[in-house]
Amino acid sequence: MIIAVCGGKGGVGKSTLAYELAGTLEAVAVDADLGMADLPHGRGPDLHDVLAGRAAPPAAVRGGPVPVVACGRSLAGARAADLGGFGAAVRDAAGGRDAVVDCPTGLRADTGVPLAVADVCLLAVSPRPWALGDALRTRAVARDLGADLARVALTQSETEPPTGVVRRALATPVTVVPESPLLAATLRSDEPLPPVTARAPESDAATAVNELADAVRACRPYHADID
Amino acid sequence: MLTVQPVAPRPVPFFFTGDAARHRVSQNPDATDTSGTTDGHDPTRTVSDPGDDHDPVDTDDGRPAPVTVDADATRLGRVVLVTCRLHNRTTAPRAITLRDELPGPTLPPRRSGVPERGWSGDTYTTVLPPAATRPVGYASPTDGSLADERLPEPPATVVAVDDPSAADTGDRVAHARRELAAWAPPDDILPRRVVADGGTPDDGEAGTDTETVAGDSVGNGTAPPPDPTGGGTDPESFADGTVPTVVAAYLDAAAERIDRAAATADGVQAATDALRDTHHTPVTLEQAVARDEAALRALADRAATLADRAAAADVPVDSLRRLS
Repeated sequence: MIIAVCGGKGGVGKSTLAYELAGTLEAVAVDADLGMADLPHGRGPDLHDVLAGRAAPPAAVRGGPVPVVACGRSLAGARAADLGGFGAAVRDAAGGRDAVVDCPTGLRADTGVPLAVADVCLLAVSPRPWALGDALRTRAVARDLGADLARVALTQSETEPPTGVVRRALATPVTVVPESPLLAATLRSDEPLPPVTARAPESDAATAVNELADAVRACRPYHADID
Repeated sequence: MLTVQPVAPRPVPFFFTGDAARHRVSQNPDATDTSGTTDGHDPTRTVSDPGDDHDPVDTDDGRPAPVTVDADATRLGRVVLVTCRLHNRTTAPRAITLRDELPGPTLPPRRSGVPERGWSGDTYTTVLPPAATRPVGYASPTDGSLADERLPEPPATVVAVDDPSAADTGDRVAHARRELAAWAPPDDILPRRVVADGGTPDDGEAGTDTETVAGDSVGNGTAPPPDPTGGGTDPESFADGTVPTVVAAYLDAAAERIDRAAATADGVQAATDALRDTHHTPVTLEQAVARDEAALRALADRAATLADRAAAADVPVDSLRRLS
């Protein structure tokens, strides 16, 4: 199954959620932000090389507590990448595992193509009016491209998150992901970290990530396993 | 315009306007190519070639054929523009497949470089609602050798009419690439690759790429900065088995030009793609590759001669060591 983590605006915690979710689901995290990579990079061929036909997809998978398909960080590499091969590359790199794709911000073709190849998507929304508007637009595109919305993750939540408003607007169950130093550290550590569900299984953050993972697992009967 | 008629058992009968041998054959015995009269039921219809034997045939009972295409070809220089009207006169939606009959490659309408939904090779499949007409257009290049009267008539034919529920829902990735804005960084913000042939605008910046496309070397900031003098020619500045940066830069640039030149042979679309991001026209590319060929052959001769001399040259290390 391919799971896309999306949300219109940047800075709502998409990359963190994608990494955490991939770790919790024992899946491969794919950094699809072709222009502005977030997930740990390491050395070796990356998604730019794969999409330009210079490397085999499995070669772009970095080991570690959470396997990551790294994305290149050069503009020339982004320019040379051909989005047409994205779905096949992700399936090949995942090698039978699930893949959690960290989508870029905005609603251009580089967001649409991961949504088009994804079976389900998760929307990351922060409790700001503009974020909700972007989430609505992203959901409409995801629906158009055949990605079912599994869950909405309400990130960076204040003391009283507007869960009801978001749930009514998007007509989808909402999981509140609390502000947490554990999550803040996920992508900022020098060494790649295991997911919060393994680091601190009793924490509120782990509970939220587990809830998102369960929502994704609940979609599995409706989607064939990826090759 | 709306003709009430019983819905036929599937596969649906269809009526074609061209060479029967090239069509998928309908199982309806009525769907034979009997030269018919001009369809008078559709006031919007334009007849490209009135009175000829390619007009939509009528059924035996005098009603117009349920699914027809009016296709008209207009030559514009070396391109033929084809305008079609697809008609579905049945009372049910129909998935209709149209085929380009022109000899050249089919150039379908594109958005963001991706053909519009329904196009695949030289066929176009669309679902038409009952009693509807849809315009379809495409182009096809010609080499100019085909006279007007030799253009296939009609230029496009209906080759299949199917149940729409079985029709392909379309490629979602292609849909996303068509419908959403382009995402790749524009050419302008990228450093130009060194172009080693003379007289190009890039000659001022001698040296190698300021950004490689090899991925991790730039991404991690671990690659040494490019030598502003264009790379050393001192053998100590390059690793065993490699060539100096300036030589490699020329060879890479020549290889890219040769790749592009080779790609242009694969049809108009491939040639367009190959030339899209360059300053080359087909003529200048051919000239540049011809110069490359001459330079590479001269280089190969000189390199072979020098390599032989290098092998033969014997520095008397031991004797000279005693002198130093």
